[in-house]
Amino acid sequence: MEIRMRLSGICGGIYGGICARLAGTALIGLAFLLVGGIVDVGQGWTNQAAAQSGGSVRPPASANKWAPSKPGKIVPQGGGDIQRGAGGGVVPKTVGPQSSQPRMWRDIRRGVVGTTSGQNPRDARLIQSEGWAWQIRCNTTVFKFGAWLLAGTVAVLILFFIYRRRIPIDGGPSGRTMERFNNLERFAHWLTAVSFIILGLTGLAMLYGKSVLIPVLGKSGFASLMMIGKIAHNYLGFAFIVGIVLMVVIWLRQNLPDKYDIPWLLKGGGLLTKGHPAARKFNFGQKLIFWSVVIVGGIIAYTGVMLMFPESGSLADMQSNQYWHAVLALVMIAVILAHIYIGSLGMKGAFQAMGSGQVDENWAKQHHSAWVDEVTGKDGKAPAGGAAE
Amino acid sequence: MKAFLAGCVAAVAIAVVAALVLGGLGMSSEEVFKVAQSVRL
Repeated sequence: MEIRMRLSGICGGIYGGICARLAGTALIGLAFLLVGGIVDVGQGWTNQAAAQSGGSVRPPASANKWAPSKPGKIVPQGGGDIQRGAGGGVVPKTVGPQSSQPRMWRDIRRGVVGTTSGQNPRDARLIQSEGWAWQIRCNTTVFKFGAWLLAGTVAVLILFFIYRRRIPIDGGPSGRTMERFNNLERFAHWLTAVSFIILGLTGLAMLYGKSVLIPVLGKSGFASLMMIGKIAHNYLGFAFIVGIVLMVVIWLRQNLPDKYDIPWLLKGGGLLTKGHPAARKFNFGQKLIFWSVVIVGGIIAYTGVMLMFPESGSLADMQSNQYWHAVLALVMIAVILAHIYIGSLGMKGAFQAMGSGQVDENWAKQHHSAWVDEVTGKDGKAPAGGAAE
Repeated sequence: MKAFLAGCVAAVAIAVVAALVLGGLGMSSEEVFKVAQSVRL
């Protein structure tokens, strides 16, 4: 019994000692963890807080080692956290967000420029915060604007077709035709049209492809398509530019304002009512299309070329170019959708003007009576060309 | 129809020429821009 009690006492003593040691170790460990954690969290602030009066933890201005001396340049002060880069520039040793240097990061977020050993001087700017605003604007505003604009345009055209049906030739076709557009004119039109259609489709695929095409084609299929699409978009842009230049050379004079424009506009081009206002070779609506293509298409072409040469401007310039390129292209697509509708499905006899170049005489008299008078010499002047067959 | 086909062919031809000039000659867009800038100056 005595032996058992003694053994029990020994075991209890050992057990108690172990428990006490474990508890002690745990407490000490916990204390270290707490102290270590607080020290770690407050590491970047302790020295600065000590230098502040009134217990504020805001770091003093002198604590900032990366204050810019003038706009666009970072000059390190203090030198504690910097090192020399390969190109001689100064770079921070620690660039992770753990480094508690709020003013340095604020400056970087404001877009100050440091130095870089890279070939592109733009790399010296670590963060361009405006890019986030641009990205959000493109992914939301432009995205929704384009979708509503194009869907709205298609809806209006459908409603217009339901209301007006296909605009017929008054009195039916005469069987006699006259040349509306010669070979060069049609060539210029189709050069511009074909390149614009491909540019429009590939551009829309860039803007809406992630939402519309990836679910259908898959990511790899979309990537393959866009690899070709991007190349086509880049280089067909030059064909579009040539087309615009050709059209300006050929049609500029005939698209200048004339006395028929205001009456044509007041009568809505005869699209909503019966009876057609007089017009020369191009009515006011066609002139609007022409100037849209020349001016808006010209800006789209300019911004597109600038995007192909990113060295031509700053990053903000590129973002602005991309934004206007997308917005104006969407507007242009909407305008051209209306143009395609009225030139094909919406009006009988209209497509032949750009198809064969020959239009029915009655169609010509109905829509371009002043032009017919000019061509046939009925206006009292010498015929301007384009003979009736 | 002929004018349409001619327009298509011309569009492709212009695109190919542009691709050859800008890409096929092995020039980066940066180099092309420098050349364009020197010509302008």
